Amino acid sequence: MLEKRKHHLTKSNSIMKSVFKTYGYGCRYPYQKKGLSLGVILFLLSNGVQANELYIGSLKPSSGNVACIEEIEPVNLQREMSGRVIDHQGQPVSGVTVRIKGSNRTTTTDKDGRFSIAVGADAVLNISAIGYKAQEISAPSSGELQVRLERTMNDLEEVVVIGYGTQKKSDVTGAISSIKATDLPKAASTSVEQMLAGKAAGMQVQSVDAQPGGGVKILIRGAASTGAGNDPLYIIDGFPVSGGVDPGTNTRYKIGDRSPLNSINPNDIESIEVLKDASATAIYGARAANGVILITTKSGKMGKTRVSYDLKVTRQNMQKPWDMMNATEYMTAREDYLQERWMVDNKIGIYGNVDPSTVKPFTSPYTQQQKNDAGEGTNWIDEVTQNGKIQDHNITIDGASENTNYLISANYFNQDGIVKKNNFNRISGRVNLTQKVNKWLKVSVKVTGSKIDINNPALGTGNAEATGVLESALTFTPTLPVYNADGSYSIVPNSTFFPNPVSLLEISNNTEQNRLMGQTIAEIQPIKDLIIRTQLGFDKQDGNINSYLPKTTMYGASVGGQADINQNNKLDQLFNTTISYNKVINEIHSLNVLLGYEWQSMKNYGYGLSNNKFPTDAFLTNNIGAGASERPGVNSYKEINELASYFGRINYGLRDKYLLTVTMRADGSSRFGKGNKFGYFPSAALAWKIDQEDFTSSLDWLSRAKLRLSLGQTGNSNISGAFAFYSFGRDYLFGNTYNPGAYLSSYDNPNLKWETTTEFNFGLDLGLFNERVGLTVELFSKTVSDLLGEQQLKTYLPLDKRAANLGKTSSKGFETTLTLNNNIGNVKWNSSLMLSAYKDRWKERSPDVILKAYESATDPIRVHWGYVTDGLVKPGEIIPHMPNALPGVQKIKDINGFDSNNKLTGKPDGMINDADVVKIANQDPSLIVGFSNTFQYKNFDLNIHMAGMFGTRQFNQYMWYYTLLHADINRGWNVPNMANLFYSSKNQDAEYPNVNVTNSVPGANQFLTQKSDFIRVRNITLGYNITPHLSSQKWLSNFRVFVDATNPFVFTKYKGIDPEFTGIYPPAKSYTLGVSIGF
Amino acid sequence: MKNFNILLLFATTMFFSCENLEPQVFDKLNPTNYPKTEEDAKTLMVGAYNVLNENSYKGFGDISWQSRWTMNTATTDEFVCYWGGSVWETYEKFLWNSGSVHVTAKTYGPYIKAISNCIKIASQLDAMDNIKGETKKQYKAELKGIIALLSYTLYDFYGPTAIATDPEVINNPASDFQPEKPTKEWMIDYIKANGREAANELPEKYPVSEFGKMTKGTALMVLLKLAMHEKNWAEAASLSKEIMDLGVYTLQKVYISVFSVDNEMNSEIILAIPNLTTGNKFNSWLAHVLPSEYIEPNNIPVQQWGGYKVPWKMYDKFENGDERLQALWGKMNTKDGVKDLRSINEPWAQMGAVPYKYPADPASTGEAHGNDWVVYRYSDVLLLRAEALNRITPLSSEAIALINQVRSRSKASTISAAQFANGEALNDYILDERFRELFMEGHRREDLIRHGKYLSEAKSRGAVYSDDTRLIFPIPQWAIDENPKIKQNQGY
Repeated sequence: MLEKRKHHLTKSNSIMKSVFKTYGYGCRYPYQKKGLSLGVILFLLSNGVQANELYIGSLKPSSGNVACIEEIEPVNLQREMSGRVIDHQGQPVSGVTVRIKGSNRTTTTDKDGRFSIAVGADAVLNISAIGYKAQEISAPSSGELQVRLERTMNDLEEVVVIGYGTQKKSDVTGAISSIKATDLPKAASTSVEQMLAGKAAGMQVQSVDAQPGGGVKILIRGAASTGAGNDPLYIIDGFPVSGGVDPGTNTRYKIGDRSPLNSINPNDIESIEVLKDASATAIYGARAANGVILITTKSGKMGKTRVSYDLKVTRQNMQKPWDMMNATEYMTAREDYLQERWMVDNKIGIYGNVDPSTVKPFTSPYTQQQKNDAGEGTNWIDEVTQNGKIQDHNITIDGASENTNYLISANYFNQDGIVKKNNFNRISGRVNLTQKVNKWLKVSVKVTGSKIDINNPALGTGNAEATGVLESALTFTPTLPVYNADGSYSIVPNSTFFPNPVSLLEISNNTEQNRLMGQTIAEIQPIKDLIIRTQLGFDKQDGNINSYLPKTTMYGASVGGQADINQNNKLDQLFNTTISYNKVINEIHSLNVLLGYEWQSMKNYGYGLSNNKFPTDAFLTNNIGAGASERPGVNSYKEINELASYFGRINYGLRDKYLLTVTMRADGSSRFGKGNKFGYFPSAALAWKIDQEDFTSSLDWLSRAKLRLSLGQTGNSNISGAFAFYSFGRDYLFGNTYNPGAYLSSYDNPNLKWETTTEFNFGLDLGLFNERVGLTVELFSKTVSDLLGEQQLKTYLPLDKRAANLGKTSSKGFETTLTLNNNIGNVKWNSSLMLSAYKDRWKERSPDVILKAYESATDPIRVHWGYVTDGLVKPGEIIPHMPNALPGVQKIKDINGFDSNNKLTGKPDGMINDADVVKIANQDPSLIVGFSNTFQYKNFDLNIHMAGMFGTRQFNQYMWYYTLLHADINRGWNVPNMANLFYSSKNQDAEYPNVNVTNSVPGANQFLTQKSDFIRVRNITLGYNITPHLSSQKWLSNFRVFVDATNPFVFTKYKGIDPEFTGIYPPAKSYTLGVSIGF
Repeated sequence: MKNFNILLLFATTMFFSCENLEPQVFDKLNPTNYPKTEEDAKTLMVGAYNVLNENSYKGFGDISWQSRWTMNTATTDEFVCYWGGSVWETYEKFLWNSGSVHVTAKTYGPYIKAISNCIKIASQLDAMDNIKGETKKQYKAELKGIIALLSYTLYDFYGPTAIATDPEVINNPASDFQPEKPTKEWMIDYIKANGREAANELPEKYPVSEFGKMTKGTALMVLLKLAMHEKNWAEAASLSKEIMDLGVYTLQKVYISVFSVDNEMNSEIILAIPNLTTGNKFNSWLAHVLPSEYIEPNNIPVQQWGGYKVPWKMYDKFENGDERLQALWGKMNTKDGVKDLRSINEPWAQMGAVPYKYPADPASTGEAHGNDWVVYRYSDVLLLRAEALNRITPLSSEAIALINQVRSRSKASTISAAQFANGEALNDYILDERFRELFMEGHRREDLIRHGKYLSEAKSRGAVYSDDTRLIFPIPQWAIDENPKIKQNQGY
């Protein structure tokens, strides 16, 4: 081992040619003599300590400040050999150190990844580079050596992006997860959020809506804010982005939930840093309480211009189709329903003791022959769905020289959804350019523009004629054909208001979203160590939706065609300046100071138009004035929010062993009243690099160890309502005229202030067995105080709610990341397992919160409440506290009661009410899992990525449809094919209750909330790199093909459609073929 | 180097001066600039009326689940719903409890808040200097009319209700005040005081452009309903006389025209909720009642969800030739021509007659019709008066005459005192007559309770909970949790 001491060089030593590598605490110099590379090592010991224990050669004792040199004799010098180093994607890697093992002869690769070095017999090459795993390879006796490098998971020299700067990973004191673009799934995806599931411990990613571009909910370390949202802050290239523009329809057909990051091309992303603890996030102050996701876009790589083209072609199938009844099954079920109703109404069989011969007998509406002949009928789901398709083309041109660094990219993404006519199309482009103007000035421009066009599916969970395309397909009568004999759409004879599913495909409903985001950055270095950086940025988003319901649809016909145009615009502007100063003092103290100011303005404005009674469907929304509605709709709105902030950070390192980070941010917001405008958010963190201590130097198995502690505060201001306003909109008709009416729409709350999160974090990073095993453990505990939320006002106040600070919550949790790097013969296997969990609970409730009888002040924040159920009522069974209960009704236990003062008595009171409600489960997952595996064998690579959640429950919408619409089967509505699961006179052993009779206890359908633990195989990607076979092709530098399966399997006991997705849009399995070509 | 430092300083200063941390909301008004003018006061008044028709599913014309109308109708013998499911069974069989939104959500909290809103606006009007005294007086009387109407409904549904009346308390969102549940006497006095003060100040009629506002007649009608509710027959007799003596109300010649869109604002109407086919304030009656199997002969695109029906047992209370059957169909136009519904062997047809009360608006857009929703009308006054008089003087001749006045309008046979054994018999007849005249207008629950038949009717439908406690609805559990001073209504 090297002695870890500081050594000073004296300039007078003429042997020193150039310093090419700082390694540990010693310095090595190449020394050329007589054309031979000689390994020379030089140690200059300022205090005269003997250095002969140093690792190479034997050095003569030093005298005073003079260096001691020994020349090592060259051994077995035989020949020059050459080689090429590429990365796992086949791209050349420059700057790789190639060293002959056992000597100190080294060289580095050029920009094409090539190197040459003199080797002796049986030489072993040690090849290492920052960010890659070191390799040892025997020098071949002849020919060029091809070396493929693999990225390391835990390289200490790796740089991570932090707030307003970057930092060596080894110097990080906070809890940060870093995700490189190369670690993201390769499948085509509309937004990067969808790729993040299971990629960072402590980050919970849930896909909400399965439609193309559908929304994704991301939570970092739980959701302890109860009223101000739990969305993390997204920062793209230093610019905090606030939501997207999706005006939504104000028609009866909804368009679902979509991600605001759809306008960012995922191919442009270089890295994503997830800042988790207060030490990392406090620099973002008032908006950082839910964590920060820093997205950094790519820049050019050193070397001449490279062109790369990526193509992905995907086919999608429905993951689990709804199983609805076919025509025969439907007719049988309707007959059963009518018969069961007849029994209930006439108190026959299990429902009473009436003699069936005394009542009007039951006659089936169908004969056996009719039922048999009906066959399959129409499968309405098939009629409105298709196989999805995705095409994703991406071209990137990049390059960099000493002064200029550029990247230009263009992307075309087109996805046909699982629902017919549903299409998502994006065109985007980017220019990232950095120019060094002179010694002290560097400027960069990062501009991206995108245009998204979406043909929206007519979703909707309304009733009757507001039913969306999928819901109506689920429930439309299977016995009907799509079209009548005359070509018109069929309708359900006894539910004529129910639109034909196929007719809803005629609705024209398009969203267009345009985004232009630009950053200009100037970096000035007036003196060494001091950098002044100014960023000026904007994010302009325009979204509009044009929807037209033609007269061929049922609703369109009744209103003479309905046109709606809604426009939503956003303009966010940013200005910030930071001054940073870096200094290393006496090689003992390293200091980095950052001071900054930031101003941001967020403007949101838009309008809406609607009209109907059109003479023709031909105009769609393009001539909205052609409609003749007596009262065409118009509206508009505008609001601006501003933030002004001052912040600073000090990083101090002592002997590279002890690190201290202190940050402070003051944020002023226009959302709060005088006196509370500014919030102050301090943090401090300590880290101890244990591996730098003497006492660990003998532990060979320990390659890395760092302990981190942090404490800090962050804020949340995501609420409006500190001010009183009167709004218009409470109109009233007098005679036949609308009169504008106004009302107090918000109370002021001069005391309203920032929600503050105080977070403590303990972190431990370990590298074992020469980084073959890596482990990171984080423990956190946070308290959210002055929770922002809507205070429920007393019943007699004209308004329901006002914004207020309401109590405290806390969240505790852990995150572990275990990485393993194994080599089994020729197979390299890297895996990483992430486990995390959190517990959110109330700590203190606002005094004016009224708890329900079953609630306590310190409940978990999200609880599934419910009754204790006790099976189903059997025929003849009498439940005293449920006097109306008929056979098959769910029995609810009477376990408690109220006295006359509304206090719990602890004794059953013969009634089912709030007193009998208990906690069934915490709604939050008890464990979140991510598991990634990469295998490499020769030119093949295989990636298997899984993610899962445990302890979750989901409302089974599939089953709910059965219970909800069961009675409507009589009106021609189809229901899921699950009658056999539910109790009836014919099926008395069933698990689920009788839907033919009413349970008088509200909320008795809690059986629909079912356990939904799952492990999903998110991606399986198999790639093959053809590059090595292309050595004769001069113009082609890289060629890789891959196949990917996204969401191919989900392991779950959940009986619903999907344990993760909510909403009605069917989740898909995707199969992708991809090609990546570099020129 | 000096240059760019100066530049930077300049840029920074420039942006500092851009900072504006005051709220910038451009589409709302704030209390410093509103309300000031007479026009402002008018917009506040319109906002106060909004509770009566916020939209078609929130207000007095709302006939959907949880509405005032549904609570008054679906719990009675005149209503049956083809849609099935637990919602309608809950009303039919009295299955509600203190956690059920069925009987609380759209009335208890919203009406208490709306009363407070009226009191708040009255106090704001008081504070406004640049508005005419006349106008101020008129507006305040309208507010009192709304308060009387809403507080009577609360009283009828929940018994004496804990409301706030002190503007100081209402104007302070941080107030700790919690109202007691008042005594019955207080509640009655409160409704009476507001109703009477409104009646004293309000005009009998408005120009067309103000039709729908509170009138003297509306306020008196609320007082009449209250008097009947309290079985204060003498007071009811005098109030009904007061309304008749206003001279502004007459029966329409044709029964169904009271509800038709081309006869809006007719002289039979005492309170109506104006509707149009456009916007969110429309009449959705036909959508709720017309069976899907109905063929609309005039190609009006009526929506036909086919839910609400009048049981055949009730239909049979009509005699042949009664013109009121134009609004309650025993037969209707189907794809096979006009058919007697009872001859169709389908559950929807076997269930009951179709209450075609609001004739289709030719401008209909499916669900939306423009027919104004009738809350109170004159024939109700005549029949209430008949009932009160018969209670005071059994088989009173004026009572018989009033009933005949109502019946003859619809070409129904007239009655004579000789047909009735005693006042009780006539009383029972009046209950039936009220059904025939006012079916599905939201009066049945009050009528049945007053006649002591609400519970027995429910029992005959299979309701298990049908003791006296079900004469009023439960106070929602959340209101009791919020205010411990409120005791739950007995039996819940």
